[in-house]
Amino acid sequence: MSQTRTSKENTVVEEGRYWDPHAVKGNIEKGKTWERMSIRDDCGNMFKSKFGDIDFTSKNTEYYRFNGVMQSKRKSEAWEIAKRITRERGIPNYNPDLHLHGVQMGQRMLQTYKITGLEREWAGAEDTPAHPGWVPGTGIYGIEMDDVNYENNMAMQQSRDDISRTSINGMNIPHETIERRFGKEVTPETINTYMEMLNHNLGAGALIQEHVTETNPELVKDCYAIMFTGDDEVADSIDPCFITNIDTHFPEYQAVQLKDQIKDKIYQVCRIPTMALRTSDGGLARAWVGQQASLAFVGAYDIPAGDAVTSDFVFTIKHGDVVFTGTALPYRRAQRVNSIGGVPYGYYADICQSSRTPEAIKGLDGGIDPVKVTVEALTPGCVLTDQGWLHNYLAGGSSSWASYVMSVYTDEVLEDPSYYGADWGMHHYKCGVGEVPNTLKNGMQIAEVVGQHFLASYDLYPAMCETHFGGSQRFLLQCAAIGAATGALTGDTDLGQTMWMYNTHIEKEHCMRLGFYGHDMQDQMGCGHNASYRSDQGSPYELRNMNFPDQAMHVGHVGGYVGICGGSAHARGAAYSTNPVIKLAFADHEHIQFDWRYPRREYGRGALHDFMPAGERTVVCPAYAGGITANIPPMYEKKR
Amino acid sequence: MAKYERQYYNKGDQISRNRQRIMDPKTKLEKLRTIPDEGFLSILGHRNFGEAYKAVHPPLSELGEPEDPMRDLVPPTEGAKAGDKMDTLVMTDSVYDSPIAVYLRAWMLHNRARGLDTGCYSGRNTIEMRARDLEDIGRLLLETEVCDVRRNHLRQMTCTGHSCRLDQDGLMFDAMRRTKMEGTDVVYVKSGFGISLDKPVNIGKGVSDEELKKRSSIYRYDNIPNLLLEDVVDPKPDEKVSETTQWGRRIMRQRLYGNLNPELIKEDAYENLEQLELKPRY
Repeated sequence: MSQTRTSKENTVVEEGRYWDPHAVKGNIEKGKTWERMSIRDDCGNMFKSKFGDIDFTSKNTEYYRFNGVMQSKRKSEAWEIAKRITRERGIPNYNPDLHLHGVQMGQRMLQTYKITGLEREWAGAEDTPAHPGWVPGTGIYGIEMDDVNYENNMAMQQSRDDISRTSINGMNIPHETIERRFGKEVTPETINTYMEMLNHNLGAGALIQEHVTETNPELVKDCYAIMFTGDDEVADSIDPCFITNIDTHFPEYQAVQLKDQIKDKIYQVCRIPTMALRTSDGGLARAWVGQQASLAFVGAYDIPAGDAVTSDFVFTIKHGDVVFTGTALPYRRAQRVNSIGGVPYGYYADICQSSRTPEAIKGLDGGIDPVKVTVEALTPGCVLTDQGWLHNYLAGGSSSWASYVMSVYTDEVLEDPSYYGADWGMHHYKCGVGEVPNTLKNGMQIAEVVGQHFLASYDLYPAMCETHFGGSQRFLLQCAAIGAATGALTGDTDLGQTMWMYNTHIEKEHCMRLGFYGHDMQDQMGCGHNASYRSDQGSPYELRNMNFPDQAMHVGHVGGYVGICGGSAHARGAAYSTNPVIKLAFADHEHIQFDWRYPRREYGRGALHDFMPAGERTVVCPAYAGGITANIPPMYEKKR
Repeated sequence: MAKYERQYYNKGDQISRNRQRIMDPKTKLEKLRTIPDEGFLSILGHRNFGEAYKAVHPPLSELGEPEDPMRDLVPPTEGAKAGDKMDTLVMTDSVYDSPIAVYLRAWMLHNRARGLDTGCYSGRNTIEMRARDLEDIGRLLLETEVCDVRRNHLRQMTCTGHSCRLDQDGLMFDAMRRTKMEGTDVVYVKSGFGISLDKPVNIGKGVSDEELKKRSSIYRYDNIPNLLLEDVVDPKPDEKVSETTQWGRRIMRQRLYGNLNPELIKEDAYENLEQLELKPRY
């Protein structure tokens, strides 16, 4: 991997100079002593939004007086809707009175949350009945648990869809095939023609067939094809609307690394329609693009359709130099390539684009802020691997699981100890991020600092402990914060992950408890396995995915590994974690539905019902009027 | 050569000594209360008072087992002898100075009982045993010093509450309100499954908060902490931190070295860590 060092401003790079981790020391003032930060600067507001005016250091409170689910706007709304559905269909629907032999949820206060990173100006509307009392400039409190349930949150679903519907094709092999087998010349003009044709037929239109059906473009408007290349000359010669401009999308030091890796290769990135994906799985993306790109080539280069050379060419398009976002899954998981269950952690880290945002580049020591990169990448990691994959797809079922991982992207709880550890490390080791030598001793010291901070926070702030009412949440947060701080300081992903495992022992000996049953296995043996030479135990985390033996049912935790992969890479000055092609394929925030620069903000918008997903079928449906039979025309109603 | 004596845990501070006492099968646990049979069975919720045990196979004496030396070495438990079905008991422990917590209970049971399967979650232990063996162990878990009636509850389902704040009487939160205070005593008004009991079961008075802190098996920053701030922000070698921290560090290093290169275990010492890098920077 390229290791070009960032400058302090992170916008200028000395080309060809490789980064020496010890050459540049952080600008820590000599003699300045590190002072303990407050446990939570913002905890007063957070607890007030959750519990009202309470003494959040008290161990005692009142319960059983909150009127059950009626205290929640979302749940009481749901009950009303369900009553109507029950009336219309005649089969009982959602009924909170069936909970626990007649004891409704809400015997304690049903907490609300603040999505970290969702600031006031990003809300689409002024105060709404669902979310009153927003405090400008301090973020939006009052998000209910149900708002981040995977089924209720369109942004979460779209983030999954955008990964699965992406197909990346290297174009150099098809271009060579055209030139050598067909004797046609490939020029910028022909590439532009091809891209124009591809954007016509990828979603809606026919190209060479006659008298055939076509699709309403409104249904597939999220479908498009673009390109990127590391060769500036080639990029300049192609119509700018078809090119992701690396220079304008990335800070210079990152752009130089990315172009250096891609060189003169041209990659085409296609997003098939979300609606099409939802009728199939991620494997459709390859087939869909293979078919449509072949037709676009036939149209653009006047290739005879149906001969043997064309078959070879189609094979090249569908199978040669295709980059999948995720590998195919084993038979028992039964999904093809591009499934979120097959995306390597390093790819998840690269898909997240927070490392090129101004927020991440005004860094901890004046450069990149790897903690920011970690916590942003960690969020879709947790949402997709846990809410989307493990609980929604593998375990089966939509309810209750959001609370498992929502602690990592709410209430700024993860940021506090992560920055605390990184801040301590820069003072203690007298160097900047990514510059602390990656020894086991240093890692364990950082882990103990963050672990102590976290354990003390939970013990001294009982309301915070109640907020994270499952031990798995506390365990995940503490491990992730230790991994984030260690990775940020040393730039070593494996050391960050190994210190995650050390926290298993710190927390277990302190509390005599950890989290979910399965954590006994993965996290306690993890410190051993991380050092193993066996590929089914000791693979680099960047290359693992949800089918890796240690992580196949690692509930709640794998998203954390994603964050550490991303943060550590950027701490050591890299522009990407694992694959520059993946990094660039998700860089076009101006086109893609889910803005990968700010995943937390997007999920927050989903929670506020402010995120517009793709793949809506409204244009070919009757207007929605509510009710399960309301949209059915009378003639069909009679037949029912 | 001195005879090896198993230590069970370190003796560094009050918390670790409490853990050691509970784990060591030679220590007799103090019995704090006696719950009448009828009440105990109604809380457990598996069998009515006076009802026979349900069996899944004939008694072993009638079964005609094949010859096997392992059967001579490992005598069956009473429940196994009788062919009882397996039953489950779930205990929930508060984070607030509970005298026992999930891993400690699992370790205690492995040292003090046979024929069990236990699982550790964050707030609960599931314990599976033959029915009559489980009832014996259930009494140990509810009647002795390892149970404080306000902080350790028998809950067969919906166990959340271990990390919630306590109510005004110091009782753990329970969404199903299986317990309530009557004066100073704790009374089960529902079974572990949340079914209302015909006769509430009074299981007595909890110990005071001050006494609980002394009996606690959990490190806490408002009682006895393990990792001290001054020890971590100004890192200390093994011999200058608490024994429990040493314990955690040692487990971590040994497991890591064991997989990396077992030879390194011989070199395991805090001061040697500087030389032992996991791998070169890539």
